[in-house]
Amino acid sequence: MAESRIVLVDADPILRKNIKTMLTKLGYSIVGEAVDGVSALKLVRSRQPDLLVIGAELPGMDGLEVAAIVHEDKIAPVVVLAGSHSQVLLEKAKVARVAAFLMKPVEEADLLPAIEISLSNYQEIVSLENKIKEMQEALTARKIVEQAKGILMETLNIGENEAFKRIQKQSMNSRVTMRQVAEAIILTQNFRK
Amino acid sequence: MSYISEDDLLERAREDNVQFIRLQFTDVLGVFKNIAITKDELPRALKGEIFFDSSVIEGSVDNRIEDIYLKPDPSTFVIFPWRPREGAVARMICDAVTSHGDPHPACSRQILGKNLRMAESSGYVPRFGAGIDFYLLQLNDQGKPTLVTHDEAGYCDLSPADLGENARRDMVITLQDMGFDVSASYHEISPGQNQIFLKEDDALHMADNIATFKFVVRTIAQRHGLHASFMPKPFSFFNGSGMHLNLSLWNGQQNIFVDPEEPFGLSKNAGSFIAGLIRHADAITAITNPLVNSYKRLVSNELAPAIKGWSFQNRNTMIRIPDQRDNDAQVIMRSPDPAANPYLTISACLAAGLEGVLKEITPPQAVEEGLEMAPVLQKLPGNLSDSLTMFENDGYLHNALGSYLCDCYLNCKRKEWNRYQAQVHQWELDEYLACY
Repeated sequence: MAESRIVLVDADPILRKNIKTMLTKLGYSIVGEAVDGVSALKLVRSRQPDLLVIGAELPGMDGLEVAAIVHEDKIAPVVVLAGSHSQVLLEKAKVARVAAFLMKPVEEADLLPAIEISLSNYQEIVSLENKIKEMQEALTARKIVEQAKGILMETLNIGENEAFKRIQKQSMNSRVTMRQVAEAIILTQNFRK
Repeated sequence: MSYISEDDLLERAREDNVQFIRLQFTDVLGVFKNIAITKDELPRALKGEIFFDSSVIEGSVDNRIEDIYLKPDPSTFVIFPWRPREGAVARMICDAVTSHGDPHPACSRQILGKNLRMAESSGYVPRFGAGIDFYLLQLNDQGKPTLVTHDEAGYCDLSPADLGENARRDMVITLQDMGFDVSASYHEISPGQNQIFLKEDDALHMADNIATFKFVVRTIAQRHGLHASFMPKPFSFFNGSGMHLNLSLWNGQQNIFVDPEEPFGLSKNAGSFIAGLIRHADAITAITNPLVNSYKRLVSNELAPAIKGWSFQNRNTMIRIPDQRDNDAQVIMRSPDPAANPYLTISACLAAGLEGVLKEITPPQAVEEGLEMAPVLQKLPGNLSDSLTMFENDGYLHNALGSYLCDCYLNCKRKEWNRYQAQVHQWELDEYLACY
């Protein structure tokens, strides 16, 4: 795998230094470091790393709040380093969908597999999510076109094939999607009611 | 406006896996409030059975207590795009009604509705657009806003000078996902200052959109580690933040501000509308510039829109008429700031302008001189106290906004002014302590 770009965030400079040494030795590139949540967020947005390694306990906005935003905005997978595994922390980590949860102090033997697996799982999650989104959109579009077809069949007294063809033709002629044509048909019908 | 049935809405909520719904409403002072309910409460909420204490919309808590019921407007149902899909959060904007189902007199959204119906009964439908300024500020390591701006860029600068671009782009995309028509966004004149323009829409939509806009911009800024401030004048030496309203008046498909036969291509109606705005300008200012701080934006500089008058090019007049004609002709109200309650601001501007049109008032001449040259009587009130007094004495506006709401508003705002007056400010110490 090409050198993955990592942002590293923790309030403890010694821990940061140790992890940085480990990661660099393992062939990753550290593209940014921060000590608090707000700076972490800005750094992640501007550097767009492949992975975020972040301490759970940070001043101000904590690491898991940052992790939740990074997950929701689909920026990168997040590996959390925590000082405890309290129920509260675990709940927050679940909500934030963190890729891995490691206990401090962090050993190289734990860090490497956590990062590698996070990176490869994330690729798959992203591609699956995109597929789902595409399918959902196709499904919605089909439902709308079906409804519009029904309206045309009823109002123009034509068959199903003919109705479909007319929507298709209109879509090609006016260079908009069939969904947009169908939406316009439904909207017009609503006016008549 | 799109109508969506209760069943359709429940189905949509189910399909999109909505877990929480925020019922949003605006209090008299223009603060956007919300009550979160779970998806199981949604059918009850749609029937208008969620109730609350009326003080939440009156802006102050006193010993009287009365229940208000929140009546959601299903057409405002929208899912927050920044929340995860597994457990989505949606919102609806609500009207506040009494236990008898009547509009609550302190509900500014319904007061706008009333004013729109009045306009419509005379054959007029207004359209509003809004250009809203805000500052993007740094947060400190505790997550609290600071007075450090996010960049050192200037008017319409490009990145990399404009570091807010990422955040601003994210704001625009989010707003578009929520169905907003955003026509432009750019870096404003001062460092860290941004503007986003919301394209013309019908008045109720625009007021809903302005309220939602501020909340979305703040949320997205926070997700970028920034604070978005709509305070009218956060810095003494940088420009204040305004909320320009672009308004036009329509009769069917016809923009009635246009008349190619008349001078400047503007109709008599346009002139009368402006005249109405100017006649009530002092009182309107209490609504459009609602904070003690608002008036620091209106003091002398080359951009302060503080002259009670209109012009084509003068940036010191409260009203400007841009060059577009035909159906794009519009009047720009430049004095309002983003702290104002959008429902009341639009109501007040509409009511004042309409009075001008209905009574065919003749507008004054265009003002070409700058603020320095303007006589005192031609300027907008210099502070909140003065504008409140003018507002209190404007019977026509009181009638348009309802006396109950006006009393609530005046009561809160007078207290705010008194709190300000009771403080000794740093400026006074710096200026006087050593001398006297």
